[in-house]
Formats: sequence, C-alpha cells, structure tokens
Amino acid sequence: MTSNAVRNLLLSCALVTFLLPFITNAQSAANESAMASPVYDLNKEIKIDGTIDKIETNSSGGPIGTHLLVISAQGVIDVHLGASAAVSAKNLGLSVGQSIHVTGMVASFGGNSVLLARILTTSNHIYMLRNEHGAPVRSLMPRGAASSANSQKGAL
Amino acid sequence: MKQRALAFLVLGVAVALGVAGCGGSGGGTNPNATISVVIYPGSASIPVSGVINFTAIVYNFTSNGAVDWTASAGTFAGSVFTAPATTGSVTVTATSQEDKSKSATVTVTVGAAQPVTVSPAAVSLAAQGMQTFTAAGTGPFQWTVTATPGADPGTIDQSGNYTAPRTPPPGGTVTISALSAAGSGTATVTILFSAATLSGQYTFSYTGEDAGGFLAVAGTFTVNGSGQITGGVEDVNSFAGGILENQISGGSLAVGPDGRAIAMVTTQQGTITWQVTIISEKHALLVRFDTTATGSGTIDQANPADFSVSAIANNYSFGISGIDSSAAPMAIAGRFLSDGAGTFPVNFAIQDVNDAGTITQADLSLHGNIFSIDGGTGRGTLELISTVPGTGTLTFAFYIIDSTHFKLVEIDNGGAPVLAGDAFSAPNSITLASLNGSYAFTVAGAETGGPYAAGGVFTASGTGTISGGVQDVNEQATTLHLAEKIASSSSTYTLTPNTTSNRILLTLSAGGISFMYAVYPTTTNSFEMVEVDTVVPVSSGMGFLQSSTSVPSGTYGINTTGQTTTGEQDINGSIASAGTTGLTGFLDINETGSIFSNIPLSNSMIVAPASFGRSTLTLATAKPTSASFTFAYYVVDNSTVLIIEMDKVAVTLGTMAKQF
Repeated sequence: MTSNAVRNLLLSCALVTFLLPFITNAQSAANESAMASPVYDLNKEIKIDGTIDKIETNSSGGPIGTHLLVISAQGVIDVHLGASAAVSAKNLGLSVGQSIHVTGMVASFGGNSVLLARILTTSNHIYMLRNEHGAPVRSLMPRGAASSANSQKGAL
Repeated sequence: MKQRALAFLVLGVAVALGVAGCGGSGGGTNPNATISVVIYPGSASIPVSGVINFTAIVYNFTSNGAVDWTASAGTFAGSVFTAPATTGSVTVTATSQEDKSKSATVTVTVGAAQPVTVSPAAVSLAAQGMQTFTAAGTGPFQWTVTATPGADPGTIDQSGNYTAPRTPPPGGTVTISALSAAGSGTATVTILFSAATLSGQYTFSYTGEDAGGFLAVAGTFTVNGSGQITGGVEDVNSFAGGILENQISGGSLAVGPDGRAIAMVTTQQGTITWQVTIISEKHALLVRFDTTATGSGTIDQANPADFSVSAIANNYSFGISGIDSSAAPMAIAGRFLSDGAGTFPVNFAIQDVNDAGTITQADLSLHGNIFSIDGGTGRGTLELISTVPGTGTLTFAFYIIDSTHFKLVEIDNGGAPVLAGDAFSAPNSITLASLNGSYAFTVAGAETGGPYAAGGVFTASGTGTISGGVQDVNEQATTLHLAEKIASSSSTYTLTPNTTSNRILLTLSAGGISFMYAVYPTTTNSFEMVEVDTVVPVSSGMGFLQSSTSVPSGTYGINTTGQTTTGEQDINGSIASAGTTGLTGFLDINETGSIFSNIPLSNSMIVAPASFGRSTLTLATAKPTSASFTFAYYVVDNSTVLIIEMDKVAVTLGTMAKQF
C-alpha cells in the first residue's frame, strides 16, 4: 500500500467518523417520517459552514423550492431554504461562491438527504427561515378548497 | 347477463374479480405503502342460497393484483359467492396473492328466503354500469329500483336490465325489487364511482406552491364521460413561470371506485397531474399532484347557459387571497354589484383589504368592469379598481361555474399582487338578520414567524349579539389554543360603517383576545371573511350556516392544505365514518413535491361532538408510512365538515364533503 493510499484511507475513515452523526440523523429522520412531513427536532440540528456551489429551484431530490448545493467540510450538502418567493436566492441576496453558515435538520426525501435550513447566516445577514417547529417563517397558507363547502351544497 | 367491465386505472390498483389472472388494469410499484385490499360490496344481507358478485381492489401491488376468495360458509366460483342454505353470518375474505398477509373481510348476513329470488342478490357496479337481474319463479315480474328520496337510483327496464346512476346515492346503495303475484324479492347494488361520473364541462381552481413560491390557477376543461379530457384552458399565475393563458388540449381521467382519481392534463406547457377526489357528478376536490408543484382546490360542474355578461347580473360577495407585490400575504373580502352590462358601479361596492397587516376597512372606492366573456369556455376577464394602496387596478381572469359562482385569478404583470379566490351571489341587502343561527368557519393566514389558522363555531342572534361558541387556533404549529370559549359578553356584530353599507363587522372574543372580521354574506347561507384587527397580520376564510351538529356518518372526500416543515402539504382522500369511533379509507399526499398515493388509514379515530358540532378526529396511516394528523372539526350540515389541524406538526385546514 502506498503512502498516498494510506493517507486516502485515513482521510476516508476520518470523514466517515465525522459524518456519522450526520448520517445517523438523516436515517433517523427518514425512519420517523417516511411519508409525511419530517417532524422538526431541535435536538437533531446540525450546523455547517460552506460555499454555495449551485442554486436550484427545481430539485429532483427534495421538496419544491429554493435549494443550495453547499460545499462544506462534510461534503456537498443539499440545503432547502423553502418554497416562498420571500426565500428565493434573489430576495435573500445569495449567489454562487458566497460563504454561508446554515443551522438546520437533515431529512430524507426519496432517499436523498436534504438539510432543512432553519437559520441562514451570510456575511451581513441572519435569516430565520423556519421556526423551532420547522414551519416556514414566510410561508403562505393556501386558499385551498375553501369554497368547497359552498359548492357542495345541493350536490346530492 | 351483460355487465360493463369495471375500468379502474389508478396507478398501482387492480380490480380482482377472480382467483388468478384477473388482475385487471393498472400495475406498478408504490414504495410508499404496503398492499391494501378492499372488497365491494363492503357488507351484504342476502337470502339463503343468494348470490353475490364480489369485487376486490388491490392497492400498491408490484406485479400481481389478484386475490384468493374464501368464505366461512357457502361457496365461491371465481369472485361469485353463493350463500349457504342456512341463515347466519358468513365471513368472506379476499387475500392478496402477492402478499398473503394482506387481506380484507366482509360480513354477509344470510337471512330467510324471499318469495321471489333475485339474482345476483348483491353486486357492486360502476357508475353508469349495467347489470341484468333475473328472478326465479312465475312471472311476470315488475322491476323497480329505489334509493334515498331525492337521489338518482338509476334505471331498470322490465327485463331486469339495470343501469347505474352517475353518482352513488346517499348510503352508496340502491335496491332492486322484483314483484310478482307470488310476492317480491330484492337485490342490493353498491354503486361505485367511475369515469362516467364526470361528464361535461367543469370549472376548476387551485392555489399552491411551485419552485418560485405562490401559485394560482383557474380554468375549465371538458371530459367525455369515458375518462377522456377533450379540451380546455387555464390561467396560471406563478412566480416561477409567470402569467400564462395555458391551453388544455386533452388528457385522461382514471377513476377509482372510491372516487379518488388521477387526471393527466395535457397543456401547451406540458402534462400536469391532478389527484381528484370526486364528491358527485357536480363537484370534486383537487390536489396538484406533481413533483414540481402542489396545491389544493376544487372542480365544479359548469353551466354554459350562464357564460354571458348578461348572466353575471347580481350582487356578489368575493374573497381573494395570495401575496402582494413584496410577496407578503394579502387578503381581500368584499362585494360588488354586477349590472348585467359589464359594469361594477362605484357606490355599489365595498371591500376590506388586509395587506400584510396594513388594513383598509370598508373601502368604498371599489368599482370595476367585465372586459370579456368567452361563451364557449366561460372564461372572462375583469378588473377591480380602488384607491387602496397596494391594489389600484387589479385584472383577473375569471371562470364561470354558473351565475351564482365564479373563480378568480389575477393576471397582472410585474410588481402586482398575485391573488385568487371566489365570488358568490349575494343578497341585495345585508341586515343583522343576515347572520342568524350557528356558523362554522375557518380562516388561514400568517402571523409574524409563521403560518396561522383558526376555526370555530359561533351563534348569532340575528340582532347583533353572539350567544356563544368555540374557537381553535393553530399558531405556527407551535402554540395551540384548543376549544376556547367564544365569550358572549364581548362578542358582537354590527352593520358598519352604516346600516346600508351591506357589510358586517364581526367581533369574536376568545382566549381574552378580540378577533375582528369583515363579513360579506352570500345567498347560500355562507359568508366571506377577512380579519381586520391587529391580532395577526393576515387571515381570511369562509363561514357556513350550521344545520347539523351530529358526528359525520358516511363516506367523505377530504382535502387539507397548509404548511409543514418542508413547505406546502396538500392531501386528498376518501374516508368512511360509521358514525362511531373508527375511520377507514385512503389518502393521497403531495408533500412539497413528494408524491404518496393510496396511503391506507390505520387506527384513525373520530370523536362525536359534545357541543357546537365541534370535536376532533385523527387520521393515522399504517407502517411503514406512519403519520398522524389530529384535527378539530366543525360540522356544517349532514354532508359538509370543516377541519383544522391541531397538532405541533403542521398548520393545515380543509374540508370534508360527503360522497355517499
């Protein structure tokens, strides 16, 4: 075994050790909420520092909304900011290459781990994106089927 | 015997009629739920030696949707059961061939022989399906079919050929009778939904979220009664996709026996998926069911005879909500007169605007115009004009259901609000007597820090006093105010700013807080409402005159919508309540773009109301897809229930509408 191979192995072991809580949390979140919305748990929060590598609005591996792919010491993390226009990258002044700090909880969506961001910190702003129960702070309650009860009358 | 084949095409669903090789259509894997089996008819009472044609539906199978039939007594030939020659109870079981640990059972009550033996004695039949019945003995026989009074029972000719109605009647069954000189005999037909239930032109709308945030859609489509969508148009207002009049060129509608359906709608912008829960041939609940967008709304049968400017001649109460130009929540309720010539004259209109907590009450500058109405589609355009800051001139596409109800979606470009909602015909004048009785209501909106929803029941005297009530509030899934008493001493309603302004200011005091709403009644014992206090920045909704306080009993379509940890969650489903404690059925969920179909309920409960028609229910799903939602519910009448989630998981609310 070459010295480079040994170094790579050690780095891999170190990385696995470092990521273990992260992975465990992700699996735990997935197990607890395989179907419906993950239950946000402050005790399962993690914090990451990294650089925005990519900004996406149509992630195939997670919830609808704004996603940041963040290069961090833990690897590339998919960070979900939310679906409201108020948390779009434009409205938050985010751009590729920017350094950010994220506090959130990892949840699993279709086998993909996504960090649900509760607090996003940039060089000059701190954004509260979710409350302590995970509800999006700038969310909008949809009108939904509010008229249904009216429409239903006389249907049968 | 002739029998139109059942054509259930919902993904991952099979209709199992025989022992093997009769899996029917559908197929596919749903990794989100385990196999579930449902038997139709779900119960039966037949005479000794009577015959039942059973049907089993297998959800979420991978490759084999067939079942094996067994019975504790009697015999099976395929899915056809023949009762024993002795009276008693028989347990019939359908077991999935793919997963033999999954089965369903029904109890067949075998009674005494009837003077005339009708065969089959029990059967399930798709809407508009056909079944020939035979009678044993000496004829001639007089054939009749009956259902709950007022419901369409279908038709039967004097040869025993029966055609099912488009909508299951209350109770879900009809009774076939054969009368002869020797006496009579009966058979029971369980009517199931099918593609034939929806036929003709329908108006739809929904609001939700896509990748850019708030999404509002309204439109119309035509379906041919065989599951083929033949055309239509929709207006889409989306932060992600902009404003678009989107032509619908076709599509398909695959309907399951419980009314849950999948629509694949072909538009010029691509194919859109809806999960539809059919309530009747006139009404359905809609969830946008794509990974790129979610939302909730309704589908209503349209009356093309009302697709004209002259038909829109009435007072209308309206409610619209969405976001302002800064993407902050905004809601408006009001009323206007449409003169039948395309004008909403000033001084005959009034509105209350809540723009992210900046409130303009009783604005009298409101007026507007109808620009156009397409006599073919029922799509029109109109504008609402006022001097209220943040509104100005708002342009809407609107889609007519009939002269009493149309859907609105704003289509202004660049820096304008995005609003959508409904307009309902309104009385010519509003008095204190316009609120007289108990009213169930729900409102949704936002407060500083997250989503907000409230619901309850209050009793209005018809003279301006509130004699009591109850209210639930869900603040951000963090703080729950459960069943707080609405205090009669500090609750009231008035006509304001004057007795002829056709506007009610309602104050409901609960938990030591006075909630104030501008209320605009409709002609159908309901009202639009928008919050006009400083308790929370924005909330709006509707209220409905309560005519029942009894626990829901029967099978209901359900829709909920709201905010969870990931974003918007929209749920449709069909659930059955026996009026006791248990709830059964299936849910279909779009969790911010994650799709979950055919999720069976397990250990779900409903508690009967103690007062005001208010109580609680819990919808729980089975492992491995465990989830639990706890709701407060408010009975409106024997077919309608309002619900609001009261747990620390999410802020959602919705409605239950009786299917049968």
